[in-house]
Amino acid sequence: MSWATVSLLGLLAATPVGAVEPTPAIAAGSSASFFIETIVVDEATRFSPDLILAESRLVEGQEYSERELRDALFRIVRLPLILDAEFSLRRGTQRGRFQLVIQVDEARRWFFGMEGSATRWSRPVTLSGTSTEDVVQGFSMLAGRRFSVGRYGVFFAAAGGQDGSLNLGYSHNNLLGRRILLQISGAYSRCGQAQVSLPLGDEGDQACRAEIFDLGLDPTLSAWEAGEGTARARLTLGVPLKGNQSIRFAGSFLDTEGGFRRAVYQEDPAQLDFLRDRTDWELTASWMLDSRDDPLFTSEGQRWEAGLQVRSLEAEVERWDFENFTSFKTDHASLEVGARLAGSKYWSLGRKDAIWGRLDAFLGRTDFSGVLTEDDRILEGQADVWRGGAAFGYGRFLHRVRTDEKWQELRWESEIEALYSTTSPSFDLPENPLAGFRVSSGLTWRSSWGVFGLELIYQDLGGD
Amino acid sequence: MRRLAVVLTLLLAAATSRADLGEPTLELGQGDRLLVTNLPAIFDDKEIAEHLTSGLTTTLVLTVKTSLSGATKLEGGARITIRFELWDEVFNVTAFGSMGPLQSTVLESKEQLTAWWRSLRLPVMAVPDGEGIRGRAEITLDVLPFSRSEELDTERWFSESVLRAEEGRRSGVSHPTEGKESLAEVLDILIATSIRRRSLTSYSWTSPWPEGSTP
Repeated sequence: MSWATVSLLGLLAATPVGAVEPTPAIAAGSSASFFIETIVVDEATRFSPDLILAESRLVEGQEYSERELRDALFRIVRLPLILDAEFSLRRGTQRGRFQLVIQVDEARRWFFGMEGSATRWSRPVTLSGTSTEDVVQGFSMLAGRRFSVGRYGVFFAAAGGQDGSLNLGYSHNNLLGRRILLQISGAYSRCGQAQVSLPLGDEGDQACRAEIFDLGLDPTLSAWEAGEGTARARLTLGVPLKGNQSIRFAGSFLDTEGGFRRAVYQEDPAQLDFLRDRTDWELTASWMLDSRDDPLFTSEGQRWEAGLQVRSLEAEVERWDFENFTSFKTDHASLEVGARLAGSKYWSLGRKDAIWGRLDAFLGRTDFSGVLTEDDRILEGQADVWRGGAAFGYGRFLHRVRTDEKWQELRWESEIEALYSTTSPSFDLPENPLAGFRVSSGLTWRSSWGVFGLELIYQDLGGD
Repeated sequence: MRRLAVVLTLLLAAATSRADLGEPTLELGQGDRLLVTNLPAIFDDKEIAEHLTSGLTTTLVLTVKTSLSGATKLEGGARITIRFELWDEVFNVTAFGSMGPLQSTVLESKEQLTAWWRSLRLPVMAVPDGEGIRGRAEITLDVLPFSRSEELDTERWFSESVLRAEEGRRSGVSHPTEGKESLAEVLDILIATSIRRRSLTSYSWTSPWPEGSTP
């Protein structure tokens, strides 16, 4: 929107053009001041009105400019669990005195999510279970509740997700009084306990969540399936800078009791490695610029992130030869260090449509040992890592209502992206380099209750 | 069937209600200035009426964009601020055109405000010569309550953007994975359900480019 343009226009040197004579009246929007005799907080049912009043930092019996009132409103809107707030004035007990009415719109305590996807792979893959598949389905449901803690804190608890986990977290939006954001969260899951299976799914697919790591952590293109008990922890610290910029520090840690490792492309789906004591962690420090109009349904703006990233993956890997009943073990350890630049820019094409482009590049070095290949080699050494991607997408709002009474949005999004990943040396691995593309199309529904999405994906990772 | 009929009736009523407001007109004024005139009466809209009488400033932003054949993309605008003085019960209004402040005045009633608004001839841009301009232009009117400003836009996405920093990776560019992290999913939903609604009312029309602007 050209709000900034229009604002600038208003600030340009005055040259009256209209035919109507200007009057000496006080201009609206000028620095009007109001003596606030009393303050009333309306429609606060989950928050204490005193808390909202305290956060406004307004005191009855004081005079405030419109600018000061606006700043107070911003402080209230930044409170966790507040969706929106409005100020209005009423007449006070005598002329020139006012009552300030603060009307708040609180977020719901409960939140829900549902996500379903069907991925058609260009070649049969084995991600989990004991069969190769062309189409892999994913489905998860989640329900959670948030609680206000203190002036700036929100505690949340949620159950569900793809592996039926219990998630707990706490966020603080004003650490040290400097608007620093702190987020701590943890999750524990025992897969199979709360697994939701689709009617179309095979019985053999009652497995834990599988993840394909980048070639810098596992150059063999393998799917790592989590073990029965998995604990995760994450900490994020966001320090606001000038304008839309911030510095972000993040760390995550995962520990799982066991699990399986399978080559994604393999002839014999029964061939798998047993994992013990798997841990992986990641640390990032990055500069961010974010001017998007909406973090989920973006129509305008851009987001850039540049920073350093360190990731580690360690596990004891045991390979069995079921024909001869022999086995051997290795200790897989990989440490990847590098720099990442990622950016996306969105263009609005009217009220409903938007297009975007996305770029992602990583350049780094990896040091690994004990990496077991499909032909029983054990890789060790160092390698340079390069991966990148480029995407182009289109989104259209099929339904959008944002009024005081109702807030519902349905958006259709489609995206095509190309991706490339390699290490140097490539260790004569058939899936290195990896070059492919991904086409996705899906519908996402958002309301104040939650987010519900369905997506169809075609995935090609290249190779023969 | 009955429910469908009710919905259709409501949709028809809403559409009719918007259409009844009329449409603004584009004119070519002195000095090749593009003027927006015949502004529709919008002050009976419930949300606008509430803001107008809040005692605080309501801002109306008018934007004109062209997507005309034979011309480069043109964009211009104007701004009107309105504040209701509670004790005197009058409206203090100021209009800013494309060249700066246009007029300030005091209006004693909503009817006067509407009449003043309807009589406005707002210069929104200088029309470049030498190009044959034909077609239609998009006129947008955004009503921004006191609470809206660029500062709010700057700050409100901070926490969301920091927490959703994994977006690129999870969507598959560098992680061609089947599974998504459930922890990140929780945060996504937590964020998505606490996004501030933009209680901003907007109107949009298309209007023919005025005759006489073609050299």
